[in-house]
Amino acid sequence: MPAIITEIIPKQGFEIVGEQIGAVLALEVANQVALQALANQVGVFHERVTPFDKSEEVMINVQLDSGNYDNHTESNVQEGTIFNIDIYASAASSSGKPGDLESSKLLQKFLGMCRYILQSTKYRTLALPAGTIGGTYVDSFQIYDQPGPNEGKSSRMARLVFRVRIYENQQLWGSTALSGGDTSVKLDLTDKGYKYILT
Amino acid sequence: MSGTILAAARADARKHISEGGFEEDITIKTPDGGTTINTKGWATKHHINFDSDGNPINSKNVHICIDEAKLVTAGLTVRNAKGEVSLLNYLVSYPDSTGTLRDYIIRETWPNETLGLIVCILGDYNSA
Repeated sequence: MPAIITEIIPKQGFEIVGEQIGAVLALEVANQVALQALANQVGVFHERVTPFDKSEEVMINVQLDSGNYDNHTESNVQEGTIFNIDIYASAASSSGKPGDLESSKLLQKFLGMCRYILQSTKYRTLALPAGTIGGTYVDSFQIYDQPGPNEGKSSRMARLVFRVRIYENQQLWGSTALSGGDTSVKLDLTDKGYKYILT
Repeated sequence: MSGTILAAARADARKHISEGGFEEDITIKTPDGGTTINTKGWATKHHINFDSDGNPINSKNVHICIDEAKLVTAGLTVRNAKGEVSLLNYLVSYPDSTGTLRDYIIRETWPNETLGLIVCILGDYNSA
């Protein structure tokens, strides 16, 4: 049987949106670091698996988590897609400033920054063309790894759950053009109901 | 000043890693390709790991153990401005048991700053 989907399947919405979330965060977080004259080294990554390294200070990682489809039609579907924005931070202790507290404050600062950026109405469509997404929602956050008592870098991690309503489309099957009326029978509404009328 | 036994242990560890008989020729290149050095160290590659339930799984595991001092002597920048080992995304190549040269990228570093050795966890890298 030959393949019947002959068109090239385009990049799916969740692929585009994942990349765009990372781009928006990289741009806006770097701008905030400059605006606030922060000395923190921040890296924004997409689908990174390599663990947070001791040579890093703040790391933000955008990962696709899951999606649920609803409002199905033949040509499109709405997808509630979950992206996890994982934020890592570490800090060293200094005079009067314990490292665990400093890393926690650093984590919360960038966690809040990411929430603000992603929920800002200026990024209601994540700067994507109209019709790509139907809404963006920062659903929740959770602090996960508490630094162990022997962890010298006081590393902390938080996950921001970001939901995007994405429109996914698929082409309809091309119909066969009718050459004209192929029947001489009409179904007509009469006083007695629908009646077949020969023409 | 470090104790004499500690200094001897460091020297022994470095010698075992670099010229103890189990060493392999290893090439390390900076991510921008600007610096390439050759060194010797342990190079290990096996295909067994364990999942979170402790069951053995078939998973490639490649790592090297190298002497930090040799890298510095060869002219490789090992640490960042804060003095932390920073070798992520450096490129590594060494021959496997068949003599085939394979390329890898450094994905994690586990430095031992008592002995001066660095274990690098490697991932496959397509240099083509």
